[in-house]
Amino acid sequence: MSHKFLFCILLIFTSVVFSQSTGKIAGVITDAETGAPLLGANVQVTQTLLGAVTDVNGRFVIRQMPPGLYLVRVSYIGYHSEQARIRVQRDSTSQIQVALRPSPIPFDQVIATGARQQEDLQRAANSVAVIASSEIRRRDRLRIDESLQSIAGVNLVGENVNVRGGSGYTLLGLGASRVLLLIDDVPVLTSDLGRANWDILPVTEVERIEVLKGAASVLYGAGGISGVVNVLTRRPTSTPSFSFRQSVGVYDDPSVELWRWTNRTLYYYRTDASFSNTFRRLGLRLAVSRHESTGDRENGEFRRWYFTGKAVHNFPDNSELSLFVTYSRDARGFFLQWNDQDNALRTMFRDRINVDGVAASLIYKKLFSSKFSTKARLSYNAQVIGLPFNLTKDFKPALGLSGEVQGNWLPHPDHSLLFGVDYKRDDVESKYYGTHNSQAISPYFQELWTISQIWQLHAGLRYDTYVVVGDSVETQLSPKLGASYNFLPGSILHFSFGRGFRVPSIAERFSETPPGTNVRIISNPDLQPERSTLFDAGLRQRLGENLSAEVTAFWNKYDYLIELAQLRGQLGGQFRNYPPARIRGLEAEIKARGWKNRLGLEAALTWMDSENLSDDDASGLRKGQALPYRPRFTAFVSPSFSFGPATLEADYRYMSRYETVTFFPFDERVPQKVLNLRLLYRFGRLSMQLAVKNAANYNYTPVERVLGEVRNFTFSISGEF
Amino acid sequence: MRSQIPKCLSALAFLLLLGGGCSYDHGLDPVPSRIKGMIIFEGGPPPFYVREARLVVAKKVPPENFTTDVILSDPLPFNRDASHTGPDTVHYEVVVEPGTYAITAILWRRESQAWNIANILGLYGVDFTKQEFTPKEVVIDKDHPVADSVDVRAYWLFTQRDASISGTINFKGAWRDDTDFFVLGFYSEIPRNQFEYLNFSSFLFVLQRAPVASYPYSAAVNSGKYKFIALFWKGKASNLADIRAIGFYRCAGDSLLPASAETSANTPAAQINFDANFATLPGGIHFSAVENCGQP
Repeated sequence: MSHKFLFCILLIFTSVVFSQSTGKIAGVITDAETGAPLLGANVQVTQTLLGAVTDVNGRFVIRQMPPGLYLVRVSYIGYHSEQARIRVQRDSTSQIQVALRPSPIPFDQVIATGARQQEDLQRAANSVAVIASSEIRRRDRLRIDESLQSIAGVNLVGENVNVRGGSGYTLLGLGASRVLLLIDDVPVLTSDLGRANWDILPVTEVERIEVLKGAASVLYGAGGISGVVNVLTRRPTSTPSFSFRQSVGVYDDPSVELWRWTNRTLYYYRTDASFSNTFRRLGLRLAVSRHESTGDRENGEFRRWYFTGKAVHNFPDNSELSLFVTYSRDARGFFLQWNDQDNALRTMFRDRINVDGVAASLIYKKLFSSKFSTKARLSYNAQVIGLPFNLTKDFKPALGLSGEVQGNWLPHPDHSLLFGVDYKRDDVESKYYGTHNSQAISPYFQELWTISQIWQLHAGLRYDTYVVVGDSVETQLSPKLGASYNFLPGSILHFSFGRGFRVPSIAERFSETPPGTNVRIISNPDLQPERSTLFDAGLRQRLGENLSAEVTAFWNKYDYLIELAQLRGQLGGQFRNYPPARIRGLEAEIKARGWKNRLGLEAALTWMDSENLSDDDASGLRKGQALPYRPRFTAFVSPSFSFGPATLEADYRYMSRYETVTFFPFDERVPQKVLNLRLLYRFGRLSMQLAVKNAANYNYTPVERVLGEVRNFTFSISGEF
Repeated sequence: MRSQIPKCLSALAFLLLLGGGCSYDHGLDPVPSRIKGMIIFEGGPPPFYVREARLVVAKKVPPENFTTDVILSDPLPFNRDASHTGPDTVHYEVVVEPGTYAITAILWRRESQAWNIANILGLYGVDFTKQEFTPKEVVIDKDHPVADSVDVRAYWLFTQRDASISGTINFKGAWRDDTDFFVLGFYSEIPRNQFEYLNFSSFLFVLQRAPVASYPYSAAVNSGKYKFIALFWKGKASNLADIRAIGFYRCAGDSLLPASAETSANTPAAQINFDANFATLPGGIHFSAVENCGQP
């Protein structure tokens, strides 16, 4: 039996079949232990741009292969990668069958975000983390931002995703995100507030999430000043496939009897269903989700709908047209803050808000040869972010239209050139910031140079021109440099350096509410763009089959950070450029399996030190003072124990108390210590899960005067047919 | 396979025991007792050298140990913007144990300077606009767990300390065993009654309970003329409003006329020596309100 683990069965055989003037590679990718076909395995022809992804039967076809000898690399999350040499002949199909061995540790992942083209995660120059769909399901995550909490250097402050402390927290979410949210490489930040809607699509439709920590502006332009979260959605299957997940849960009583605010049973349920198939050359995937909850607190109930569709048409000439559309609607009560600490689950605010979002993208990919490919994209984004105090009615949906043309050329087997131009147009209207139209155009290029088997170099440059029509023009040149050094088998040093920038959102610059309103905002048209200088260096280490570790040090400097400076004695403020700040830190991640793959451990630790670099009278910040809402320590530890078809898992998340906060500095603050427990059971194509979230019923405030989620119990069942 | 099941169960039991053996704290709880109110900053913006200001609550004044005897808040947000003309206020809420708190005050400090109870911006009970000069105690007990509206006015004027006055206090008479502390007060105007004792421009706590013959002092004050410099005594059984003057810097040859001292940033006032006599207690020493040693 153990031999099966040690050696994979690799069968390669070729057959001559009628084809065109070029050849094809076709094959099947299976699990070496069970023989089951693997859906979504990545097949790449090295030193070319050719590749494919397997369908639900584990099959793939790579067309337009010039005759020759090739090295094919097959990778899949949770399995060891395999390589095979194969000869392609004119007008023939070379068949390949690869059986992948399961890997306790996901060593050999292929990512698409760090260099904006496929590359091996182990050799990436950037710090990139990957969350697979299996992990999202296993941890019973319901939102994209929730799914990121197991990554070193990433933490949530309310609905703000912090990558290496780059973001903070803004009241009512009025400030823009410093983390760029992409869906299938397409930016989807709101056009007016520059915010990320982390609940814009159901997580069941996510294939994987790639998080780029560090300089990203060179690749993705304004927005990714501290990082990028790229959500890659699932592709249509070639045969009919139906999947579902049904979850029901109840909230426990709060740990403090005084906080109990109702005698009703508080519950939630969630239903996800999707269907996928390919009709001739057209692959379709449709998904619908419904999530409803009473909430665990007063005015905390919500109802959410999600509709997602993806259509992919493969043309005979090796080109592909795909359309992706997602729509979400979230109608909920708005729990702004508690009444007081004796009534932590009650609020005097009774506002209800709706958050609506639609994002669509049309992408055309054309492979001209094994050395040259192009991609053209059009995308549309319309979102209304709900605001309390009846403010939402004064906002028209913020519209964003963007397009991109990109080329990828391999002039030499060791050089990969990526170049293109981005265009973006935003149209926004609100009685608070008026009517504005902004446009941005950005040419960019990047070189990925494989100097030798052990050295790889990334270098890139991007020039952004951002125009608020009739108002201002901003330009920015963003360089980036990175390298990876594979000095020993299993040991890789990497470093990256880059500059990022973010233009102030329309809302940050122009929002103005009249005196006497609930939230008083004063405009500041003179806001400067934020700028960042980001540097990191780290070591990825693989120790045998069952242990991997990564340690990364980072040093980031931010200039002109835009924060909401609070008004005295009134809710609201004015967006201002803050003094320069520096955030440095250390991240460590470890993944280990042992005792016949029954025991597992994942851990992520982060130490972070943030500091203002000068006094600033306007904001009241002093030199040396820590930035608000930046925890010094975060830790995530997840042990697991498998016995037969069952797995028992625990997640423990720790976050030290914020040293400084903006709005209620006198409130008692405690560290976050959240323990989640899960029991999973697989039964054929079905899997069941019993989970306890916040098992210790620990009370903390993720943001001021908002209590963390009360202990709750979930049962869920999911299946794929 | 059969032999592996007990191992699995043992491991599972071990994990559960491990989890069950851990004791978790529950984090936040309802606050049983607290002091809350509003801080009103007056006369801003503060000078550039003000590093930070905090609220301090203490049962005993002055506290003997600044790290254990006081509750010190996080840094207070206040406005440094000179163009800001509106009120500069902040609401506060401090979690405290039940007890009697002698002072609720706002302190400030310079860069790299330690906290000093003398660096007071304002005290609960002291409000110049209302002509109130008596620090008020705050009592927290089971029946009254929350003290609300404990508002404090903080005066940036008190941060102005560019000069100094130094000298020696010579103690006379039998040392009082019930001595709690002394306060050395510096006044721009001679106080005319007990209520105006707290209308000082600057002051210095003297934590000297054991008998000494003399006490050298050095106090940071603002440039200017101080018409009255006196040492006040507080007994252990009395409250802050019952402090008594037992000595003052006086004119030569006249025991009742206060002498003045002038100081500036470049010319510190030194040798401001005077006697303090315990024999004047309990009523305290008498002094005249005549300025400039009776000279026109």
